[in-house]
Amino acid sequence: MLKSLYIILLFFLLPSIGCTQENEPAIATPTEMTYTTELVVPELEIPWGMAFLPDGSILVSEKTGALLLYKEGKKQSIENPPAVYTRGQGGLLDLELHPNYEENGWIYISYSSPEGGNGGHTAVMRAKLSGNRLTDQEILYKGTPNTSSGTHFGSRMEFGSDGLLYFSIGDRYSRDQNPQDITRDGGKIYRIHDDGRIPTDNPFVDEPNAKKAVYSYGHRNPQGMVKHPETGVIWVHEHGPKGGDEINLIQPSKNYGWPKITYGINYNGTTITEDTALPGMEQPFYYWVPSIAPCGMTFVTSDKYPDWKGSLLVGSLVFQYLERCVIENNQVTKREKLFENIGRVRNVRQAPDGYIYVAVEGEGIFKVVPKS
Amino acid sequence: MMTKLISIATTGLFLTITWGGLSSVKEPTKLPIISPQPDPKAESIKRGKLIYDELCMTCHLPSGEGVAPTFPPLAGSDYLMKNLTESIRGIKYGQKGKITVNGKTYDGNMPSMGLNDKEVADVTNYILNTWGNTYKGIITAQQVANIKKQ
Ligand code: HEC
Repeated sequence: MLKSLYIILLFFLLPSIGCTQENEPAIATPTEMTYTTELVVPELEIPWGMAFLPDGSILVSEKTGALLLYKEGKKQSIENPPAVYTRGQGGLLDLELHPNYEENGWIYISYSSPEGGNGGHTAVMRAKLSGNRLTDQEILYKGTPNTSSGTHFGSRMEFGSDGLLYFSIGDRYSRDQNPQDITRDGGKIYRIHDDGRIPTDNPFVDEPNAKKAVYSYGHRNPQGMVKHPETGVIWVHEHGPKGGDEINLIQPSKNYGWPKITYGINYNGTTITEDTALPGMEQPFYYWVPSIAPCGMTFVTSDKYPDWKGSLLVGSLVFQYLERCVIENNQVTKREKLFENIGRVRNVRQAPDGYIYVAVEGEGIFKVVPKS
Repeated sequence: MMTKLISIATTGLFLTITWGGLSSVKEPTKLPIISPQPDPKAESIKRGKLIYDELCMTCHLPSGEGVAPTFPPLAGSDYLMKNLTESIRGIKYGQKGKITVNGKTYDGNMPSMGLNDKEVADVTNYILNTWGNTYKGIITAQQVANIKKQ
């Protein structure tokens, strides 16, 4: 009798214990490393965005608000960047080139904008580079209302296979107001045309009062976004609370659950919700417990890294390494920590030259090269 | 992974079923206002806690314990108490390079939080008077304004 009670108890308790332990697969240190890093852009503070221009130069946004062009070994400051709200996590954030950049010269910039006063909110603009000036600035989207919160701006951007621009705005530290309400900005993935128009087939264009640019909702603070090289699906990762960082595969109109469901808890250890799954809400593709504080991500597709081809690389702010996720049969089957102690990894991208570049806070931009 | 997800979901369901009935929402009891004169230090500490929870907690954790070897502790930090000016400068402008906190070396990078002088004073008053830390005086916005970048 007692024994069977035990078994019943165990049945209910074990999974919940498993939930606070490291989520599988456990991360491992690679036994053999065939690649190393080389510092190419030194002395950066918080390099947020990186864009690789056709002439081989690198455009870098610093959270502090500076826009830099690294060309032929020299760092040049670009004049006239947008004014930014720099409290906490706010500042000059992501950079992305138009898919036809060579013809039209459009550069996309996300940032926390103080426009309108009383704090800030995430905005997306496009602009052109002429000489060392940023010109032709057009604001394409601006979240509202501004708040004084210095957290959860999201703001990663990526062009989809449909030629449309996807970007994220975090919940702005208002988790009970924003993520589940499609009439409010924040806690969303958005989709717009390259000139800011709302696509007529966006999922909520016919919903009264909805923010028409919203593509999916129920997000916390997404700071990684990449188009899958084969399927074209937009992959996003987001910072969870304590535990419960997630990778989500974005589909139109879907609700990714924050804060109704999460695998994480409050920083002070208290519960946010008992639920990790609810009907009508999407499960993550993968979730991290403990949190790695993911930032930036890219798929390895080039021939420069035969050992890593097909892997997903994700920066870790808190553990200060680059994480490699092996994906097989639609699952993360293996995780490795690369370049341990490199520093807080803010961004990682595969450039048109096929090399992987890693942006590290307080250091600069590293290029990943084969060991000679 | 799938089976784990399902079992976690089942637990969730079990918990809602067993506990759902018990959770009655209580009206928060209103505290009587004792002192009509607000104490400036207590007020500053109160504002400081909000700033701490918003901007500092992710690295230094809710109880100021930090995460060795990356984020130094604030609770019981000898560095904070002995190098108050340096600490405030760090909160105001960012802090990078080797420092020793309670005998352990940290060589990290704390970004500037973009706080104004009053907010820096508030959050400093909070960390100086919480988790067992005590500081007799009060840090003012004017004191913070006088601390310049080096
Ligand atoms: C991104 C992570 C991060 C955040 C956010 C952060 N800190 Fe820090 N903090 C650090 C690191 C790393 C150091 C050590 C820097 C070094 O090694 O020079 C540090 C050092 C300190 C120190 C001096 C060392 C000590 O332990 O006494 C104080 C004081 C401090 N932080 C207070 C704050 C306050 C107040 C906030 C919020 C306004 C804050 N920090 C936000 C990472 C952070």
